[in-house]
Amino acid sequence: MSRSAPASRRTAKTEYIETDTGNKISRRAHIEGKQNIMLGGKTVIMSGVHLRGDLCRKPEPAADGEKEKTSVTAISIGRSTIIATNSIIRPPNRLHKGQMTYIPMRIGDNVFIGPNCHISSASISNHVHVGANSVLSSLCIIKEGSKVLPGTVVPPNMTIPAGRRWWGG
Amino acid sequence: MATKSKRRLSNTTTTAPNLSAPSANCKLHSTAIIADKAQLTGAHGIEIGEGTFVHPYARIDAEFGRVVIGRGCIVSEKAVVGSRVSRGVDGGEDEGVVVIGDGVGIEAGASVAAIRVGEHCMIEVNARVGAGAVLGRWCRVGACCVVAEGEVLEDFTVVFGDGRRRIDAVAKGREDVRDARAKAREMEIEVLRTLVADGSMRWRGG
Repeated sequence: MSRSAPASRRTAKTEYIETDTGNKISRRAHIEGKQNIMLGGKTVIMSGVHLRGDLCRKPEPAADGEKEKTSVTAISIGRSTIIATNSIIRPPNRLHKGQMTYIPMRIGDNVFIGPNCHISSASISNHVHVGANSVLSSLCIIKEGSKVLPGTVVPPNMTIPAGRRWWGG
Repeated sequence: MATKSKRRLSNTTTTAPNLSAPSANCKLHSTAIIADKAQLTGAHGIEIGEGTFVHPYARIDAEFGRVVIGRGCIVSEKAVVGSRVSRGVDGGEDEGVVVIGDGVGIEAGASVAAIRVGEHCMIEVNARVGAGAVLGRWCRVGACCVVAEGEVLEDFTVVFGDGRRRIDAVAKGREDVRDARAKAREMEIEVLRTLVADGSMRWRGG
């Protein structure tokens, strides 16, 4: 955090930082591995949100003569998505070719993720609404336009079809 | 995708927790990894075993009693390990003590105040284990489930749904399944070690 002159901190700093494409990110969000996070534009990350970009797939060792890839995407979030306060976005892990790897997760456009959610899903399509206090366990897939009601626990590896309302747990 | 103007995130800030370090009776194994932003608090002392991994923003709270975490455990972000009540065996030395066995996974947002959590237990997202509870080996507390204060769970219990219990017969009957699960935990830690930097020096008094 850039600590500028303490006297003017209150007035000069707003809660949100706005990027060139219109993403708004709270200064109170806890973001790890920001080089591995892609935001689509006009996305809002509210305060207390944890984004675990550091949990990424390890780049494969570069073959001879090739330039080594420096960054991989761990979390990609589409346009106009809102991630409300205190949610945790954490890429899932699984065994892949005999190795434990973190799977990159995708969140689509116009998604709303309510406060205090835990998201470890493999992918969330466009226009999905996730209610408050929900837990989307590792590698679940939420298809387009579905609505997960507040307090739902979605078990690991589950797919929720498009356009459904889903609750329970 | 190519038409989308995606920008990599920059200029975001995170504040490191501003906490006083627990006193010198911390025993952290040299191969344990404690992320820079993890919080270790309390004067009663914290013991962390070999190869255990503590994620950023996890909290280990020894304010009311000693916290002992075994080998090869994972404590995720926003999880709280430590008892907020002085409740323990005989009201004596063990008050508020929390002992976590080997290979235990504590997922994000869970809070664990149990006297004893057996080896290879799994405490899932936002689960709560009340003070004074005792969990056997290979127990699994499902997401958002609650284990009451002072409750005793036998080995292989699974807590799921709205507080229902069952015995995990697969894990109980088959050693190969148990081995595979333990192996997966080990592999996860191995990967995490390469991804997250160790910040435990500040707790080791180094």
